[in-house]
Amino acid sequence: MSAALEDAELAAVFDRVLAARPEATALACVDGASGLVLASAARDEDALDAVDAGGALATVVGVPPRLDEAEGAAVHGSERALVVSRRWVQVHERVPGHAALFVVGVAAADGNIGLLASCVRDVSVLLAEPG
Amino acid sequence: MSGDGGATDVHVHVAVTSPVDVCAVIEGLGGDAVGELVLADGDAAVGSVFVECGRVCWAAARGLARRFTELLVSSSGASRAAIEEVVLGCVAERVPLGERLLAAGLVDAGQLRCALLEHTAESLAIATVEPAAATWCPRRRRGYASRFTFGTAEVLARALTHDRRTDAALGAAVVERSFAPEECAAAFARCGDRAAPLPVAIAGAWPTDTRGLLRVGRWSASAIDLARDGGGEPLVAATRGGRSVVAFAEGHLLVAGVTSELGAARILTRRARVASRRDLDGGV
Repeated sequence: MSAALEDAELAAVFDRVLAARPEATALACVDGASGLVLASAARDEDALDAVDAGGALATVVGVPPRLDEAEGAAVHGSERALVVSRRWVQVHERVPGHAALFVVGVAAADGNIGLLASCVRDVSVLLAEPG
Repeated sequence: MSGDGGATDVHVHVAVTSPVDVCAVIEGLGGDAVGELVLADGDAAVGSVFVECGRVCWAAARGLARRFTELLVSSSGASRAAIEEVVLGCVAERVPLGERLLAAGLVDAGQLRCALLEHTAESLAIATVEPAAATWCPRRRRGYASRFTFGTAEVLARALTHDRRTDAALGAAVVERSFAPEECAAAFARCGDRAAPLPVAIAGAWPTDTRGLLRVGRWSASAIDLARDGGGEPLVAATRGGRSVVAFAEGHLLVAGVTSELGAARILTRRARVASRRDLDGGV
């Protein structure tokens, strides 16, 4: 991730993206190993709760079950994940070059999943760019 | 543990509580395993599974002595007496009965294979109704014809329909309408005394063994539980290398499968259509 982006700056980036991309209700950067939300921005408090849940989910959906025995015991993370619940849709996208970091985007359950996914992907690429 | 068919027994004791456990034990023996997995409840034998080259050849369970004959009679129409004569003769001589039955013209290959699979599956289901101890005993090869032997996935899929018939039927229906024929999927049910949900219906060629299938069930349960926000039936999908593992709740069942990257979107659309039809029907 860009060396210049500390957590506060991440939140500011997310604020700017939310202002420009109405398809997302909340955005966060999550440590996929611990579920810790490193930074986030949301349009309302309910969406912040969804972000916290997304952090916990990232520890599970970030590591899909091993399917091929040839993979051995090595842990292979997912590239992206989708979570659809009664109230929310979440898109998780791994930050390129950062095995433990995910960008999580949240929208209402009836939101446009495709646009949300596109938004989250753009943010993950932005965070991966060298400073 | 020796699987070379030698006369010396090397016993490996494992606790089994379902056909899933038995299949996992067989897979753990490796592709060269030749012998008998004896299932016992205390000192009483409740069943056994004969394995050659890692494939299931035959299973038997206490109380099913005449079941194989019944299956053959109902499928082939051959006389019970004629079939019993061949079966009893092979049991006494301890030789595989498949080729003898075919040579006698009493059944055809398809009928025989179906009966063998059904009997094996029923035996596994009945022998594991109560927890049992499984002991592996290497044996000499008897030379079962490979066309009349079964992989563990095939046996497990058939055995599960006996263990939880209602869940198996529901699960099979959900799997069929949610996943494409070329994909693999399974429905799972939670059992109160087990940490991992058990598969109740399996479809397609899974790229993994029974233990891998249980891993998918555990992962699905964890993800679905975290995704619930006040009810509803969540769906989760994790994508890697062009494949997605998709899992969702359907009533009390968990359903999971391996699809393409677009699989989750397709399943969401289908679920939305089903929900919409249900709403329309409810409003009539």
